[in-house]
Amino acid sequence: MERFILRAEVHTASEAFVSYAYDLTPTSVFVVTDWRAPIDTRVIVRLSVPRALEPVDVACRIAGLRVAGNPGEVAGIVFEFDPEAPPASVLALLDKVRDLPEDPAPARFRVLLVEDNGLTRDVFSYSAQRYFGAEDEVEIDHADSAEKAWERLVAAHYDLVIVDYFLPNADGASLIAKLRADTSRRQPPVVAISVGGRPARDATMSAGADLFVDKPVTFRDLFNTMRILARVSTTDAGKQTILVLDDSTLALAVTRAALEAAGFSVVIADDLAAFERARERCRPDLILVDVQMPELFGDDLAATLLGHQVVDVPVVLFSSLDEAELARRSAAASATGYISKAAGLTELVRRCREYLGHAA
Amino acid sequence: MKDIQAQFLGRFSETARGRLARMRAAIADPHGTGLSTVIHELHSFAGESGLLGFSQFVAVARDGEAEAKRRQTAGSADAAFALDVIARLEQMLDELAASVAAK
Repeated sequence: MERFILRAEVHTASEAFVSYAYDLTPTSVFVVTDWRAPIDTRVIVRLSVPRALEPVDVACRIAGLRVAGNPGEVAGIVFEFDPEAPPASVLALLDKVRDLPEDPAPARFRVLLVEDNGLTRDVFSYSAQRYFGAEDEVEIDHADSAEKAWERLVAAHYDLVIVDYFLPNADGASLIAKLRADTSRRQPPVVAISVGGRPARDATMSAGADLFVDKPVTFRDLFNTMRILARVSTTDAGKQTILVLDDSTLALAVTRAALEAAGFSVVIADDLAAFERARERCRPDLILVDVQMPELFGDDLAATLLGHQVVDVPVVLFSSLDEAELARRSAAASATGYISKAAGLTELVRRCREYLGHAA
Repeated sequence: MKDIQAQFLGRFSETARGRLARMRAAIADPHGTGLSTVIHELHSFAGESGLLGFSQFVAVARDGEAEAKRRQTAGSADAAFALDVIARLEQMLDELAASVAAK
């Protein structure tokens, strides 16, 4: 299994701290930390893939220490799991990571890298391109300050945000805190990175970062973790997937919130290119298309998708046009049906269930 | 869905005011796309309002959109009528904010 990064919360008899971990096996894990205690000290370690796989608590003992001898190495503790309490939960976590399906491939995974160092940004992008190859799995946006990052976060949803601690004018921790305070949006996992060591780690984790990774970052480990996050985000087993195309990011966010609360997996797209990528990758069970968009009319798209048998799932017009006009356009396009935005979210959920064949 | 309405109230207000500002700017720009901007922004405003259950905005936005479309179809470029629509929607947003603050 490829090496990936986990969040680790360590609980001792007298204290608790949060850090990150590598090299999870059925019997041990390595946690990056400068905390020290005698060999055989017993602790509870909570391990998780942030906002993706549920945490597991494991009883452990300190089995060894690692020191940072060479550049790029990190110091920490090797924890061995208590052999008297076999960590079935750890095995289950490893199984989940290993068994994440390659196919269907995830919809494009959007990453925002907030880093003021241009060389770091360039190396990251180059390395990501080599790692993810021509599959176009990952889209990386950059911001070189907290202010510019906030503009991007307001304008679009990201599946992962990577934030350097040291930024001009406002540090990464303040950006993370601002993001976490805005409960109107879906919260992405946040990975903080820095040369600042423990102070930066404490500041960013307190602000709400899910992971902190010391610089220099081993990009392959980070990319392996990103791949897990990308696959988990579209692999909610048993959930039907609804793909929504709308040029309004607010409408997309509200629609997603309502449909996810109703138990659906939702993929959103705010332009035709993103819609096409998502449609091919997430294989939706239902497609909702806005009608009046800058690029095209949704009824024309529906007519193409259904008329040319590009898809074999319901394609439903979703608009604020009045019902008479919606009905006319739906019929003309031979769309599966229509849903009026003016009817509200309860009606949206009810109609989606109908189109997906759920019992009333 | 009241919790979703509450969750998105701030973003709805911010987005709505942004739309109204863009409409004002487009109307004021003699070389701009006044009517097209008004149509697009009011259409989106109506959709976002309807989804969140703010039905009081839907009718005003739809009527403004319909008038803009009528004028555009008739070959007019005059979008100044929309200033009254903008003012009305701004007043309604202020009333909404006041009612929320009062709770």
